Amino acid sequence: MSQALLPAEEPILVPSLLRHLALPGLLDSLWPALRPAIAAGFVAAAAEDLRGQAAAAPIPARCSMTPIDDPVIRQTAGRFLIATSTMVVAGSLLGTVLRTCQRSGA
Amino acid sequence: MGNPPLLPEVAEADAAGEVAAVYEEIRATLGIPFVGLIYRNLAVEPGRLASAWGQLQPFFADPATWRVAARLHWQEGDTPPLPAVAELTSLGLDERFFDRAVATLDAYDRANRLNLLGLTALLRPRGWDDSADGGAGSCCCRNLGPPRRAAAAAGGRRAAGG
Repeated sequence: MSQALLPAEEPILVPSLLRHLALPGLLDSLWPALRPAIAAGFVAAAAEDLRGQAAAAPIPARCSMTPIDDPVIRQTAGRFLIATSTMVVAGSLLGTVLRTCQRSGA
Repeated sequence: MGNPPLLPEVAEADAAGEVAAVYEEIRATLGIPFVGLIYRNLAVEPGRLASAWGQLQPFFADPATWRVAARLHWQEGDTPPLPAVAELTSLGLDERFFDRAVATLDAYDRANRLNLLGLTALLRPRGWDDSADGGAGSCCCRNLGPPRRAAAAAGGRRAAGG
């Protein structure tokens, strides 16, 4: 799932959210619900939209931050910026599916 | 050929000293019971986690950051229909499981939104004038004093508990 959600890059980044849901059979069952949204480009597009909003958001505390110069931290932060925005969207979709199951008593 | 390597990390259970202390601050500041992978990865090399967290902690402690995080959204109408997940019924999952899973997803949602804002702020170019870009990227620098850290931290934790 993480390879379908995130850009191909090594070492592999498996989001903690997916690890939390890695119970026997659960991710296998949820994957068919998420896959069409990924294949249609919805998850990537929504994540890009979120990144744009994050960059444009008026946040006072940003002014007191010193941009990081460390190239390793910048590279890591850049990779996780994609992963984090993607997982906001994917997590929301998974939540919708689980809430539907919760309501229906699945 | 073996499996590709996973991103290295310092697991929460293995954290000691400065790393354990920063992990505790992360959990308290973000109001979550776990430490995200980005922090566990930054902890692999000494000093990197503390350096990044030193910038991020005051940012996350500001209630304004939380308000912006909660407002991040996409067009719900664009969401494709989600197929039914009939297979879940065969897994024998009870109501408690769904309650816990939904609570976990809510915690991740909160943390991921905040981290998205924090990483964006960390990565902005040095010298970028937030107040002079016509609104995009504005951080409302003008007429603001230094961050009100104590009050902000209290506000952040309240928000985290909600």
